[in-house]
Amino acid sequence: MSMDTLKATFFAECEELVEAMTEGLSQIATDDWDSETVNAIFRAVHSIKGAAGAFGFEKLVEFAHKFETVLDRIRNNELAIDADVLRIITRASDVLAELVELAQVDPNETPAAYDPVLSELANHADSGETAASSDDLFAPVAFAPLALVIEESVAEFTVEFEPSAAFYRNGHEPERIFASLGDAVQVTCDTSRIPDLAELDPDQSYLAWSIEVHGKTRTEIEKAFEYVDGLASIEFIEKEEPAEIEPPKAVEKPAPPPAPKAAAPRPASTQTLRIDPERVDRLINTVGELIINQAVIAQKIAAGDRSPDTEVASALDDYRYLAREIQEAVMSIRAQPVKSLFQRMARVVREAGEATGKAVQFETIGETTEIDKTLIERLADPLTHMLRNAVDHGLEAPDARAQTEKPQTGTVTLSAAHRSGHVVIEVADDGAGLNRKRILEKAVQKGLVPSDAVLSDSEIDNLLFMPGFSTADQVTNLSGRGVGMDVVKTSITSIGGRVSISSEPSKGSVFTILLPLTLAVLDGIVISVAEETMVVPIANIMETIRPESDDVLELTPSNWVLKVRGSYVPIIPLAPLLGLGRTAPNTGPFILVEAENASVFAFAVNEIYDQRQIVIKSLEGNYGAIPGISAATILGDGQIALILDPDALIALAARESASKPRCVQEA
Amino acid sequence: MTETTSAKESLSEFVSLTAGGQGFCVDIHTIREIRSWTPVTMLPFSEPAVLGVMNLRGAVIPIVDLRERLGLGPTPEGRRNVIVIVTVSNRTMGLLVEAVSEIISVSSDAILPNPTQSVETQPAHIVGLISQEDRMLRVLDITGLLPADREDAA
Repeated sequence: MSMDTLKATFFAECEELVEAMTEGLSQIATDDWDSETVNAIFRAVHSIKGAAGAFGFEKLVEFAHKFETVLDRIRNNELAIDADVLRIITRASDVLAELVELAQVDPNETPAAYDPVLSELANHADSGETAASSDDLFAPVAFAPLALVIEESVAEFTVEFEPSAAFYRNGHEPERIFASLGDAVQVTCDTSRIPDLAELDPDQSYLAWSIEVHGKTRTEIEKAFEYVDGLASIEFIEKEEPAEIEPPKAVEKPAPPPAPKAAAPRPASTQTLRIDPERVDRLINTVGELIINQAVIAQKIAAGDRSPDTEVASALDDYRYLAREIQEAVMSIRAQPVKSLFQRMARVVREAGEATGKAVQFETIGETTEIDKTLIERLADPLTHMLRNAVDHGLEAPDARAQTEKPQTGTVTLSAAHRSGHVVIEVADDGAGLNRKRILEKAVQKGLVPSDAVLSDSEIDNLLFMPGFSTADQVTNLSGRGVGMDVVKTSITSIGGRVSISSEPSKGSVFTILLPLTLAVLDGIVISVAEETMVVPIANIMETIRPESDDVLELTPSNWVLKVRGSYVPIIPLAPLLGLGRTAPNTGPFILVEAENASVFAFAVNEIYDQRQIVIKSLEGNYGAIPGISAATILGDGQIALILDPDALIALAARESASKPRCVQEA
Repeated sequence: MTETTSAKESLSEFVSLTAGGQGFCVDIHTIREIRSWTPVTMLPFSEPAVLGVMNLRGAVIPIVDLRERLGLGPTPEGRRNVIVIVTVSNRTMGLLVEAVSEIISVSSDAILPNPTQSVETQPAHIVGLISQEDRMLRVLDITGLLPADREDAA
């Protein structure tokens, strides 16, 4: 990662910071503020200073430092905000914003107001000077650039693509794949293997393609072929272009800030457009409506008795395609690399390491992974907590670690990746792993589980997420904040994600967050439960089954199982669970879902319809949360369908059967 | 919504409606629109007064049977039944009522306090009384009618 890209990031972030600072000041100006407002301004100025130091923007650092000192005094109640002080800090923020602007062109230039404001700040800063610099974690050199992502080099690839017959049987279309590779592709079809007409078997595959792709990384290309893996032979041939392939450098040396080059022109290519997120939201909503509208038209046409006009049908397909295109484009406006978040987290880890006296190395993977901006914002708190936990509880204390064969320095890894329609974020440590015995003891002691409970490892791990669980007997100044993992879980769930733990004794623990790519749409299967139409998110579904009647077995009147390929899966009849009727487990279709802890359940439903992309509509704004229901959506006919939350339903069913064992048999 | 003016102290406007054969009225500022009945989607675990949710131009809003909510039993199906869409404290819901009649303007001194309000068992949905010709209209407090928040997990 070159200095220029780092700088570009810095300036983009500065814009945000300046905005935060200005907003805080306007709150103070309208007399609507508290200590957090001042803290926010302080943090903004502090962050600007810290990063500016790394680039050697001395004027900026000097000014920010003075400004920060004054703010620190306000924060510590040593300086009251009166009209005069407000004027100075407002002017100071203007100068700071201007300095940031100027630094993009010439870091040595200062605005006219620089000196007078600086001296005014100095007047107010006197007594606070020492206090501020003592806790200064961001002395210019201390900003060591952490290991950043190694960007995959963009190269020329030739992909030899030869689909098997199964490829076509599964309904794949080579053209779709080619189209998803973008415009810069050149496709050559090899028809040499097509036999004479007499010998041609229409169910066989005879064609092979050679695709030249320009300007894509290998991962991007692989993504296009993600779903046909195993159905075709795919071979990547990278063109030899040594100039393009840089030897991957793992860590850039924390080089001393380079001497700023004078009058570097502001790079035009990195221009960004700043948009009020609300406008984007409106666009996303409208596009959502457009997709619903398309579904309405499709349904109306399908409902007509006449066989649909092929031209209309294909025009409708185009419509759907375009609507999706627009949707994706709009979504991408909101998408942002997680880099800024990860960089913030680096600081969290550093601070946690210092606070606990543990040597920690922080590694990040997949910083360029893009996710919805709102998700990024709402990930900051849970991630902060998880990383602190990883350092505080995950890694062994220095003396305990010395007794292992592991290196003295513990490693905490934060990674992000896209995995089939989801974003996976992992926080891993190489510490001692979860102490399951102690967790169980703790849970029993707190009355969270009965003392005779026999729990599997994953069930024990999940106790960490229970409200009221906290290994609080070893309160440190980090974890003594009274926030448990249940808060992490709640905040992740509220953005449609899931958290899970895996841990191996003495190897470490991994906390995995699975998030939807966006908050606005999801793929789901439309089902009916006792006359009501509902949607199950496809992410939770393993398969749908229409079983033979002797595959449904009764264990006890309230416990039925479904035999699936030799194993037995508990059946959860949805209608009685949701209070919509008392149908016993029937032969009707089942939906197999996987719970958070990887156990499998079969939902008994009345009917399974088609799979669709649906727009999520929150129920909580106007109504409130409903157990087992995550949200609602609007179907093609304008009716509302509820979106089921399989994990919550499984929990609900478990609670139901635990609280009142049904002794009455419903026939 | 319209801005309040100096005339506020003197006159308030209400929409009068009928539920369970009784006369009620609702502050006109809370009413967004009035619609005819359309089928709703049932919600599991809802209180009996919540009939379900309906689609209001892309928004999902709960529909509350006003009569049932006030303890007067469920509203029978009827052709004149209408849904009054109201918005209070950023929440929108629909009230199923038997009929909506007119807009009335009354001066604030004409709104009498509900004399039964201090009684413990009386729900505080009725915050005032208005005498209109030979009828009595009960002034409804919409906030109290919102479906209770369903956050009862654990």
